[in-house]
Amino acid sequence: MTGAVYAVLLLPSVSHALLSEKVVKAEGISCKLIPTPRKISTDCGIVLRFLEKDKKRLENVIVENGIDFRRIVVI
Amino acid sequence: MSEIYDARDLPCPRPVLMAKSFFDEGKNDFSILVSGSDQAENVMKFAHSRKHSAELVETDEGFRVNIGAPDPSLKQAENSVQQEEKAINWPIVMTITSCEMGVGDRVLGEVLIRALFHTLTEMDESPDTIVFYNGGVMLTVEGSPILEDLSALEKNGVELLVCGTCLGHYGLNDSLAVGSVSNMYTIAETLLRAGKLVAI
Repeated sequence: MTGAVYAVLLLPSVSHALLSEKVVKAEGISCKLIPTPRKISTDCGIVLRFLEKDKKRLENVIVENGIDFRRIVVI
Repeated sequence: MSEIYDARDLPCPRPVLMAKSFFDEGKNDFSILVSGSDQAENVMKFAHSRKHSAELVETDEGFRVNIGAPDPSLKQAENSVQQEEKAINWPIVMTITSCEMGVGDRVLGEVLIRALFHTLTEMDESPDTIVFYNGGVMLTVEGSPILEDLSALEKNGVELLVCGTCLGHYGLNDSLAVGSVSNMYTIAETLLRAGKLVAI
């Protein structure tokens, strides 16, 4: 994955993060739960990391499943 | 002809303890016959840690580890220097005893341990050794959510020791996907040698 550009989905809670991971993986989109990167927030939190190229697809999946999210940040 | 000791019926870590008692008695030339390759490897590692030569021979009867006199060759000297450096550096040892980080909500604990291992792969400082025992061994087998991170850590030189007794208890002997099967003798040595012990 050298040179891959990632983005993260910021969510309101760990439960939202777990649900997001489940529905995103079910759509065959590669993703990983990781701690919120320091440059985004110093708060302890969990975000869903994915390849930036999948951003549109992922956002659609999240919205279609009615999952509340904060924002998407390219890292 | 060196004496051959049959340890095929002995559970882990008895073959290693057998080798230790022979070394303590001053024996330098003997063979130990064990039933599994993991056990043979553990005996080999132990012999090397004591600077003895050791070779593995697969026979119809099992795995025979032929142990010889202390080897004064350069390689042993290098190992000795490496061990001394390790001792000076005080290795960081991390213990993982369950699939969760902390006690409380189980789902949260599972997310936290995944986050922890991802973070470890991104940090400048890594543990020298991570020891997995009891429920922690489930993180090292096929289907574990942190296999990718564990492989990355291992590739970067982190030693992953997995309790063989625990794998057997959970029926996971054939499912190990990362790290090496270890025994209580090595685990206890690793914990006692630790300069910093991080219990998760």
